[in-house]
Amino acid sequence: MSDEDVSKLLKEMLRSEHAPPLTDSVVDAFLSSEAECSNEMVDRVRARFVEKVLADLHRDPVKRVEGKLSFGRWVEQAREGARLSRHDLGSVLGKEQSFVESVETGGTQPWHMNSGELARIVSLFRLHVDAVSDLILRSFALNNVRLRGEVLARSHRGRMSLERGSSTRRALDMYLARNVSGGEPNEEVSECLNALRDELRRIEATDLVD
Amino acid sequence: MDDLNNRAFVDQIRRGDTRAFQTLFDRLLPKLCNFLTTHFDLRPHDAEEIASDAMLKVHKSVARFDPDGGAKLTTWIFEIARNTTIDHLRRCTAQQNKAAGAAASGELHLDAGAADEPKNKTEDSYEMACPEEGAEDSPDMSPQMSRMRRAFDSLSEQDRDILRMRRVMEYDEIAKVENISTNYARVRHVRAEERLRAAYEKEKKDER
Repeated sequence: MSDEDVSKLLKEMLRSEHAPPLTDSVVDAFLSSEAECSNEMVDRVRARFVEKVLADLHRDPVKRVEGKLSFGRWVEQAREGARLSRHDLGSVLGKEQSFVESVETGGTQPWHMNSGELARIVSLFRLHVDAVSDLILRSFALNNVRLRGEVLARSHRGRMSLERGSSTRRALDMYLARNVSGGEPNEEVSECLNALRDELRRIEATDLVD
Repeated sequence: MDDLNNRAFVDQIRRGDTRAFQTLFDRLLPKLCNFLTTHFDLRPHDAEEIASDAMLKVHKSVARFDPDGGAKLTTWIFEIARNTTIDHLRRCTAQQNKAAGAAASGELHLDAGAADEPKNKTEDSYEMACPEEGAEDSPDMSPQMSRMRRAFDSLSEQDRDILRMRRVMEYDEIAKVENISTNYARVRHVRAEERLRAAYEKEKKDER
């Protein structure tokens, strides 16, 4: 066998299931080398990874939501349940993690998002439009009550760290969400839900609408 | 990258700490994707798809990773990526053979989804199946492949390592990692190849 043939066979063997396992020393060497793929490639891999994690989370559309949560807090709970960070979710939405934080904490309400953004979140988490409607109505009711709640939190601000502040706000949101009644949507919310339905049909996520 | 194998960090990953996993992802992925594209000659799109599949498996099974089991976390992850690539290549080959067979028999059925996994399909819990050292001939292994595997196994660890490194790394990179000169890295590789060829010929002779 020629030298070239032996080299080819070695290459084939190392790329096949017949190769021995990688060792620490070899992998350490790979990790020490400077060669690496681009940040853009890593971002695409991260987005694809997050899509796959979320696809595993709810194989069937979520038609009913447990508990009394706002839209944002439901997203936060689902994201944390999937062991994903805000940065991860941002990567698949093409947004910064600050956007995700704003959605989850109610800074950005669903009826203030464009229908494409909302549909993307909804389809990633496999939320049926019936469940979205419940969540949005709760967000709407919560939003009306919350203004008073925020004043109270601010008055204690001097004694709070950022972390205590955000966990206090989360607790307050959950308390208010449990105690506020759903109420009727206004025109803005109704338009938001209609636009969402249209967008979900457009992206062929019809199982989330029908 | 040693800090990625630090016991405290590994325990955070195993407990499901999202920030720790994000750090792992950020630090490891550039190297992992490079490994997949260079070692397996993958197109970037395929490397991305496989890398995301591999990280999904890691995400699902990392709680079961045993830090005292012999391999480092980073080695475990690279091995998952390697096995995921092999599965992917095997499926592609099988599909190509099926299509070629169908075309030859005049029964080509076009199935747009055949080449791709459905987006929401996921693997079952992943168990690493590492071939044992000095593996017996598997039914799928050609005599030549089996001979090459035995020849490779008979080499010293240093020779095996440099033959593997050279698949992915340039001589100057190997030199830096091994703290030797570039020229000596080249000499070590050439000698390892010579010993491999000699071992291969010996295996062939012993079979007769």
